[in-house]
Amino acid sequence: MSVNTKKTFLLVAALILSLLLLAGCFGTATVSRGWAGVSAIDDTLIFATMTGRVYSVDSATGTVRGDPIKMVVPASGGLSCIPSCGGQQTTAIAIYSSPGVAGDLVYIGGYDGKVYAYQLVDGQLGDKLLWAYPSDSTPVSNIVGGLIVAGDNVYFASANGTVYALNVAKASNAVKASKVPKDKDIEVWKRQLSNKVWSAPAIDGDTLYIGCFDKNLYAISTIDGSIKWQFTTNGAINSTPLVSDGIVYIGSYGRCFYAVDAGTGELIWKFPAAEGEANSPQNWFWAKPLISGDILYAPCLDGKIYALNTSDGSLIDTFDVEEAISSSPVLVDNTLIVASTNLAKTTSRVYAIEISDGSRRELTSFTSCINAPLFASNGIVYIHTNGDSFYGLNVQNGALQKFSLTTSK
Amino acid sequence: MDAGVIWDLIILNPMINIMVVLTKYLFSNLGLAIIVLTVIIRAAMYPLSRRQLLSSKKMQELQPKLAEIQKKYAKDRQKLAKEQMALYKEAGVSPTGCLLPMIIQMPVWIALYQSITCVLATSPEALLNLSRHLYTSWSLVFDQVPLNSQFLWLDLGTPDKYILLPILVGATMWIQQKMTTPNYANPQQQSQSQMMLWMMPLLFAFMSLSFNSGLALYWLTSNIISIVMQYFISGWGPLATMFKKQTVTKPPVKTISGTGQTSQKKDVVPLKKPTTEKGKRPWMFWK
Repeated sequence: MSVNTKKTFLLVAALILSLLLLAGCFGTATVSRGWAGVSAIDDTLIFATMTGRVYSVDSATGTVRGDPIKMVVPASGGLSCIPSCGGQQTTAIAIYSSPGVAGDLVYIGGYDGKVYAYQLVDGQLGDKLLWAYPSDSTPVSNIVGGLIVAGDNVYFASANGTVYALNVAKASNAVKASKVPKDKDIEVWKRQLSNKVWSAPAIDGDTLYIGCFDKNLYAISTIDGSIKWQFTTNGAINSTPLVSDGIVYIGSYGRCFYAVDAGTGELIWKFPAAEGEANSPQNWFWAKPLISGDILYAPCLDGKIYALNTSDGSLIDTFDVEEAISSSPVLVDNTLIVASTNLAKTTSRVYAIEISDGSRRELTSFTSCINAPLFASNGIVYIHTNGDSFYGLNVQNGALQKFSLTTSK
Repeated sequence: MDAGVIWDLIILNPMINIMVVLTKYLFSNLGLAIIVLTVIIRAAMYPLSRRQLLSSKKMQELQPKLAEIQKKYAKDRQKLAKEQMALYKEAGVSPTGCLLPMIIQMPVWIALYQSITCVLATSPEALLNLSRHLYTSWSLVFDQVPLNSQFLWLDLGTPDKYILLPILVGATMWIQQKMTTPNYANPQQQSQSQMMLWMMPLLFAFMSLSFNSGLALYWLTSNIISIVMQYFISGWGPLATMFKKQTVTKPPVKTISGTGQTSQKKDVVPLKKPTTEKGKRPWMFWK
């Protein structure tokens, strides 16, 4: 081989290698990183990061208790099989759902399609996994929506359109008896829906309400998983339903918001009542709504919060924060705390809106998006940014505390 | 207004919204929408593609003369460059003639690639990001998303688990490359072109294994369109020689029979396989 041919060969090889690296590292254009919100048990906050670590943090001092749990799965695809060439042998599990908490147990729904249960001992997460569902290596499907614990059961849905009810009491008993809980033993029921489910369930009495990408809102019996009714909207549903006083409130991608009778599935009202109405929403309803008295606050990706009369759906007021609201807002006393995100510039701002007079003040801003739901406890709003930082924001004085997630080791 | 906003406004957003609308009217089938949009864009780009193909065809035709000049002025690079330019001028081609149309088309291909990735919205982040690209005045795009990613045996949001699509991508790219790869007289150029002939299809086949099959479907459609266009502009090219016995035709020889009649006879002589220096065949570039 001549010198020139060698050069050409090396050049082509370099080109191909760089493209292979691109293909290996960026096999899909958008990497799933997760955006779990904060949860709390007593004085312990649970943070799930985008690097697959779950921390227990003292809410009073902000210090990390013990070591974090590392949630990883064996890496696959690309150059992961070649550690010496930069491939990783494990990858962090993305966590989109805020950890579910009940008693001293913490449940985490992973994007890898598994539910993991850990125990909290003296406010510190035990590093030993109590149990996982499914217990074998075959996961269900991506878990995006949150988990909800009610009675002895934990409820969640996966992206393959299945809603699950697991008996966690049975699982705990099996663990206490030093046994690995069998999937069939802890499954109470499974309900297959016709499309993806990224919505978290809401429970009221013996009924579970959940939205689906097939445009339907479903009411499912928590006892046997049978469908009690389904209500068809004009678009896919991603947000978590809100149940209050026998009414289910839900927004859809069709830019409409609905109030549905929780018992019968009959439409009570919809906003806007007719297409093309003035002040109609201009984008999807993504985040979970909230209610205060007889006013419902529906956050929209068009950068507005629509204050609707719960009795007839009439528009009372519109709070404009100008950029997309993908993070569920919270209510602290009479102040609405809203995070808005500029999806193009990947920046965000947090506002306080006084619901009495609609006045708005900016509390803080970040150089990354906020997609995780906000969480409020004792006048502090906890924020998880897409820069994977956790903050505590004092609503009264606007003081912002960044949590330093360092451990003793 | 920064470049990213302008790019989204002028190129990416229209493509995304058209793809969503096409999906709605093509039986809610995203696979068909990808194919149809690729065909529409390739049709719109036809004048540029044609110019590029014609230019590369002319360049191919000049190869023997170029080789001659290279041989003649091998030791005088200045003279070689001058003679080459004179040849290009005489033939009415520009050495960059096939590059310019390709560069102009590049943003459109990139936007098409990005729009497919965007509408597939395989992760929650991607779906959220899609919301900012939709036209608020087109109500039908809002209730159509997220799109159904099932097409034939494929989930367009994930790689083809049966590996059929990557094989098709690789095979069609090889055919397309083969049709446009001339036989160079210069052994070095020949080995380079042969290397590219194999490497690019293998590379795209590998990428189709890793990327979602929506993108692989776009590559496959694009390759097939290129093959068809190439065929109508310059025929099968070097690919044709693969499927027929290579022959050279000697000039007709006049013979006089005993009856005094003349007849014409063509002598068909099998052609030896083309060889390069040291008896190596051009496709054996690794030797």
